[in-house]
Amino acid sequence: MTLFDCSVHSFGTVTYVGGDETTRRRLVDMGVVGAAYLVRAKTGRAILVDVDGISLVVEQSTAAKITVLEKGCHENRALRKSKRRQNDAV
Amino acid sequence: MKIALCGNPNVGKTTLFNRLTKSDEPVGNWHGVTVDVRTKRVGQDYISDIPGAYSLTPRSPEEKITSDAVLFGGYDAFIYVAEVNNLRRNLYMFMQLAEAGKRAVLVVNMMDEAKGNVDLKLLSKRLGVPVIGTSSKAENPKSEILSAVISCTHAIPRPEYLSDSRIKSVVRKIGQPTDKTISPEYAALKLMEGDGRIINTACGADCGKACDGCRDYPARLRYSYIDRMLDGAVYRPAVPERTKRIDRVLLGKLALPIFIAVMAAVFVITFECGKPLSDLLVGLVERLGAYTDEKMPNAVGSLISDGVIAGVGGVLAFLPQVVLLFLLTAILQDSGYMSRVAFLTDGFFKKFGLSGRTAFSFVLGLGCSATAVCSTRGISDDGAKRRAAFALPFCPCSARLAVFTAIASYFELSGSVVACMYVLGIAAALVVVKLACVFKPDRTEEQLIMEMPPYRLPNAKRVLGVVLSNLLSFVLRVGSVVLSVSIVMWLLCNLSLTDGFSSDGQNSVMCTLSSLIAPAFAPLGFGSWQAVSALISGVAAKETVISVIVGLGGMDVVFDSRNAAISFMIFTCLYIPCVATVSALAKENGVKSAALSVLVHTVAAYLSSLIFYQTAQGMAVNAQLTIIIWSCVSAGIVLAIAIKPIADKYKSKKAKLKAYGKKV
Repeated sequence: MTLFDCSVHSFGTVTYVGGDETTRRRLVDMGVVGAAYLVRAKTGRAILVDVDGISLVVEQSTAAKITVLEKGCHENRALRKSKRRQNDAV
Repeated sequence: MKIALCGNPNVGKTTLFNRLTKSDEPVGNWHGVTVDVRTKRVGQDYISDIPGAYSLTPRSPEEKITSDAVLFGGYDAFIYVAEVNNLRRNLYMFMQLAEAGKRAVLVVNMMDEAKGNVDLKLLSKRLGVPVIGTSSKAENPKSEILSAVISCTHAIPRPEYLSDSRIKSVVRKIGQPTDKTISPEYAALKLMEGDGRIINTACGADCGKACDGCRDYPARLRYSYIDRMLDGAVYRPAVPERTKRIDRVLLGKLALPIFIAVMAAVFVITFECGKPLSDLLVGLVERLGAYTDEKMPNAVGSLISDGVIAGVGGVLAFLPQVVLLFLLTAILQDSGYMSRVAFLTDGFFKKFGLSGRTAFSFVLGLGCSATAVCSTRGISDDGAKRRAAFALPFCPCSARLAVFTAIASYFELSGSVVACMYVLGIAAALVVVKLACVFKPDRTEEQLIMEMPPYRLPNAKRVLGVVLSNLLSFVLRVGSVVLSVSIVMWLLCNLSLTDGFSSDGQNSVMCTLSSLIAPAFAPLGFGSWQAVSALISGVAAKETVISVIVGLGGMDVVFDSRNAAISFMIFTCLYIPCVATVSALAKENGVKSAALSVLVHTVAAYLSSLIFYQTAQGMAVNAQLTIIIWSCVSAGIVLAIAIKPIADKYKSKKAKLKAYGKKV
């Protein structure tokens, strides 16, 4: 699974960085490999992800080359509230 | 001693440099502000501020400057600046300094923003170097840092991972590097990472084969060592919850409308709030000029009132708008919102062969085009860098703002007309870049990888420091360039080779020269020699355009209608940038590119003004309405270029579905 495939609020660990050498080197030098990630926002072309305590913006083409191990997905508050209301109604 | 400040981008190196050397170099809450090595003398020592980098293996021209300065700059010691909340990543380059055998002290900055326990003494003991904590709110740490640097007589202790067996085996294969300043272990690590420069310059091309398949190994070694150093000494912070909450709103579904609203608010506040004070200053300048004329009704009096007072005063009268623009952009920069702008606009800029990083340069261009061109050095892709540098001078700067507000104020044009100039300028920049992509297509695209700083409340001291620094350079420019050009233009416009002093300027040197080319500007609505003289003076500095117009009789002499005035504004917005910008462009892209830029600017300005003036005269409608329509048209052209790839994708999907439907 790649970072590109992750939905907003998903979290896990980065396992490998591929792609062109310049981009790969830069991400490896930033300590991304082996670090915990959390996807915070996605636009048409870029992903905002928290990696080991820092917020990074990465292009989708680069994100497609970052292999991750997804551990879960934080649902947003509105969705949690809605699910709670549905459960209460049931 | 030669001492250098180095570290990651956006950790406070330049702020610390300013405190150590009592300087006023520009700072900002994003990386890419410092693009050159700056050196100042402090007593017997020299302190240099080096651009930030994440690693000594360079990936952009800016990082190459840093890498060359650190490795081959001949510095005696380094002051390595790290941010307390990012120590793990910041110490990565510090480890590379240790591997290269450099002397350094570690300064942990922004200690006032530390979220947990930080044991600097323990860190110092583990790293084996002096570690000093500081912040902008603390006392000036100058004496503490400089005495630590001077007393630091040995290099940073070798990290223990240099004794790793894989590194030793590579060292055995390559032997001693030909460049004696580089240690064998450092060369081995660089070879493992595939640093082509070290392979070629220090070890020879054959050495590249000494290491196979271990490119990430050095990074893993360094981070595992850093984690051991920081364990128990420094907490590991997460992204602040406040930043996440604000980003959920500002980067959510309403991101684009919020961004447009913020930019609109900046412009409205700049023009509308600055207007009353600006009108007051214009009145004062006029009264002072009239008083001087009355007391000294001779050539000297004319020089002072029409040359100096009208010239310099005419520009300074619009200082309120300029200060407000500086203040609002400084607040946005310091809060951290500007980095989010790059995230939001990356997709849009990509349609034009640029990246979200260009948004920074566009914002800098609102202050000064020359600074904006220099800031493109931080763009790693060469094609994108050249295109951005070529297009940025179209973005109206603060000097052009002074011209727009002066004309708009005189002709009672609303702030929307001035905003239209910005739309036209930015649209022209993007269209030129798109045409450059069409004629010179680039296969490679710059990969956007950018760090987002956390949000913080703008610090009044930092913001005022930025505003004062920008204001000072604006006022100095007015006091030097504008004053000199005003005096020279007064001499050229009032002295005749045959008649001597001529108070109305007829038969003057400038009148004779400008009259030769003035007929070419008649179709644009301002075919007078006074308008052409003002445009010629604007090549030195755009602020002088207004000072020359005022000195040669005023707006009503130069422009016979609102259409002519707006046409002139359009021409000023788009024509040749000032000499400082052209020379910055020549330095970044080469002389040919700078010459082409001058040609493109002149043609774009001429055609735009011509189209506007002829349609405004032909349609005979309100001038303000016409310019608003034309700016909407230009914005529409830009949007059409931006959404064309999406429209093409949609069409091809629709065609595929249709073909599939027929098949079934």
